[in-house]
Amino acid sequence: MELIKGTNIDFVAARKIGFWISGALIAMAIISLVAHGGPRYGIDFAGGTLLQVRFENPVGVEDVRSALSAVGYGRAEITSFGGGDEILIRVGEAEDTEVSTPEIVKEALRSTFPGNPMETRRQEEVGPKVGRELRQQGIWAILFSMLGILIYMSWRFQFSSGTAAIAALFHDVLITLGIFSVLGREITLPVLAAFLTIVGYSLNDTIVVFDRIRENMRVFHRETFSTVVNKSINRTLGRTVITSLTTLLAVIFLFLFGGEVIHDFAFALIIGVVIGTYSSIFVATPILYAWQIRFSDKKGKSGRKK
Amino acid sequence: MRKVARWKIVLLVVILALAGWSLYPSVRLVAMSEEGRAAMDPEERAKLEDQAIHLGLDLKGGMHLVLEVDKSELGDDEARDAVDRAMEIITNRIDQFGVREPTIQRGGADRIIIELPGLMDEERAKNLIGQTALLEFQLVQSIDLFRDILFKVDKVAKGLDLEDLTRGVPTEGDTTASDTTVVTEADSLSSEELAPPVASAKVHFVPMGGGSERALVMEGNVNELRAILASSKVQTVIPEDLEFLWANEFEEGPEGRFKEIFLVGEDPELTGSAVSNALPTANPRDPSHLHVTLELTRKGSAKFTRVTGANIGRQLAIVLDGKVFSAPVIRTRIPGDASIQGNFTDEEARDLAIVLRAGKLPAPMNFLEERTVGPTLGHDSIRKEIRAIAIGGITVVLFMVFYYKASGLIADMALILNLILILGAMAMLGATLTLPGIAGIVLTVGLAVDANVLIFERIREELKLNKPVRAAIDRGYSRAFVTIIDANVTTLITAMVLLYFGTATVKGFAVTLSIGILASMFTAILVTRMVFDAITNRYELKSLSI
Repeated sequence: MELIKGTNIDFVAARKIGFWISGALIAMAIISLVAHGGPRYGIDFAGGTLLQVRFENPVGVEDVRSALSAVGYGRAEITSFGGGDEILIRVGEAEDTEVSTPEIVKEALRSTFPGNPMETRRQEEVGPKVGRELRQQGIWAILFSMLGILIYMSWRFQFSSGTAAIAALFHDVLITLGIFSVLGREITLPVLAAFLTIVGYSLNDTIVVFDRIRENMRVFHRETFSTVVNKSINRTLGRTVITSLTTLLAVIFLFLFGGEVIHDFAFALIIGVVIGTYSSIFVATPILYAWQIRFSDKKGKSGRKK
Repeated sequence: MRKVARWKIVLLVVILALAGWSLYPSVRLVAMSEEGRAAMDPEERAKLEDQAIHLGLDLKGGMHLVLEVDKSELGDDEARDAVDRAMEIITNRIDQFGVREPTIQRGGADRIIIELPGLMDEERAKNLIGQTALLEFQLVQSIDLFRDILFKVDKVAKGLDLEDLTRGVPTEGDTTASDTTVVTEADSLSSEELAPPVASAKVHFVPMGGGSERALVMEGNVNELRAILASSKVQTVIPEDLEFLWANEFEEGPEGRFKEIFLVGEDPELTGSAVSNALPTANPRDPSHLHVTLELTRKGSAKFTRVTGANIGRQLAIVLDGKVFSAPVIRTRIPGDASIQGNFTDEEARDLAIVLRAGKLPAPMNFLEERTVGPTLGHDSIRKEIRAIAIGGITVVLFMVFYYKASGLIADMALILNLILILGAMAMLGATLTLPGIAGIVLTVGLAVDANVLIFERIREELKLNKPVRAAIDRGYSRAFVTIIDANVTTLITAMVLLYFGTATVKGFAVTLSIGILASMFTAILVTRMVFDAITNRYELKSLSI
């Protein structure tokens, strides 16, 4: 069976829709980020302590909070999941104490809930220095990827293609960041890894379309650029939809059933796949189109591989 | 009739065999039950686990520590070796502690990265690793001298803002029951007038056997007194060759907890370099607690004998990292060994012995990062992820068959082959599988499908143009090839960047992603092609089920 049979949508004419949607999403992202003073960093990037414990019987978050207040950590972030028996506690930068922060918290919890055995699932402490470094490294990582991609694309296609692709990538990362910001989700190291994966994946998509355009420029060299672009997108639509669908299928189950640790990571991937696919058609291609129209001939010369 | 090239078949078989062989240990390990695993000879099991796929800490459970060597007080020469020496000593300590398969690596100029799989007691591990373990034997001064200096401190300490002082001092114990000593605004006092006993009021002198006294401080006053003694004004009245040291632990008394404070000679009579061995030994008077007996080197022994001979009647404080563990009175010349007495539990005594045996760290260590994953979380995560992947995988497989019919089946076979290849490659390379790494495999499933989809869509296009089946397949593969390469290389670039910049868990993800991409390219381009070729060779197909 075939999902997308011989479509002939005029994507080029429809690119205004793309600009509006993207514009709105980017605006939302920027507003949210500014309002929150930047992305919401997990302890990986902001430093601090994370403690996840599991009790045999469910405990109330309020009780946990009062237990923590008694030892001076009343402002901790407390989340409960798994039916109330697992508690996740996040505390900002710890003071330099003789006994480490997790120990203090665990002691407080143990004495508040006697007879309710408590097990440490995981704990993490990140000093501010490391947090800062990881933040910097994260940014470098993204920039380096973009650079590498720009170089490769310019070599295999053209500089215009490379720029259009990178623009689409920035768009994707920014919007995903925005969505995370709006939903109040944390950016942790695995989430950063997901972002970089989104970069690679979105690019995948964009290249498939650009590759077709490149090929069709040769084959249909008598047609106008907009016809070529439209044909290319329409022909690759089948593949794009199917691939996104299968990848989404794989990742959605991870998101739903994979457990809390991998949850944010899977979420980032889902957003990334959707936006990445969208951006290949409605961001990268229109930018490429606009660039070509402005800076080079409509037929023949543009789109030729070096 | 074009036969399927022989070399391709051979290559495929070889690769499959390699993957199967390298995966065999992992399969064996997973298939064995708990009892079977426990019953195995430990060496054999270690070897098996080494050959199987390594699990990251987030799956296995364990501790990950990043330490920084504080070189601020070292001279240039010392600073250069400091990290290496620290690593040696830490390795020594961990070896003695008996953690299986620890990883101790240098991370940059000043850092040490340690991974301890399976260990759960973070505090204990951190103490073991981070403790400087500077051992010093210092002579305790007479109690009269103590009193003298304490009164001098009183004089200087009036007018000190206690709030200010205590803020900068690391806290310990319960400070709610502190003495509220009023500091008067009085001007300088003549030496006959008694200064307000800011310091001395906090110290209780309690007689001990032998005519001397102990200086004890109630728990609530400890912080303040500590702050007072540390202030620069007060430091001026304490003679340069003396210092105040506190006991290691609080003691219980009828009125609450208290700590002993000592005035000792700053220059140690003996240091840890004189210790050749340290052993936990039984305490005859208290079977539930242990001592740590120190065996001294020959030179150390000789010195020790000299020191004890010259100071009979005085106390010799045994100080570890600036805290007094014990201060026995020297009753006779002691030839040979000393012992550190304290209320040590089994664990504490053992750890202390380890630390003393391994030697002191050249510089203090700061813990920059610490992550611990409990084993149950690891198991849970694996279980959940595998279930999610299984469901997702089956859905994708079914979808492929549904959408591409028989060709979909071929693609599915390639998918499974893919998984085997990825896992086999990881086992062979000794790569570590982490939680995001498993997610990376999931992503690879999506990408593997992608390559096949590209090819199949092309073939469909060619078929629509009424090209003969064989030609359609050919064109499909050759046209898609370029696109697949381009698309996958760029994802590979991001994976490489992640590999370079990432921490351990992220690196695991980058590795599985990279291997996955390469594997999927291989299976999509080579393997499925072979199958198609094989089929079209056998049968003259008029149409293709695609």
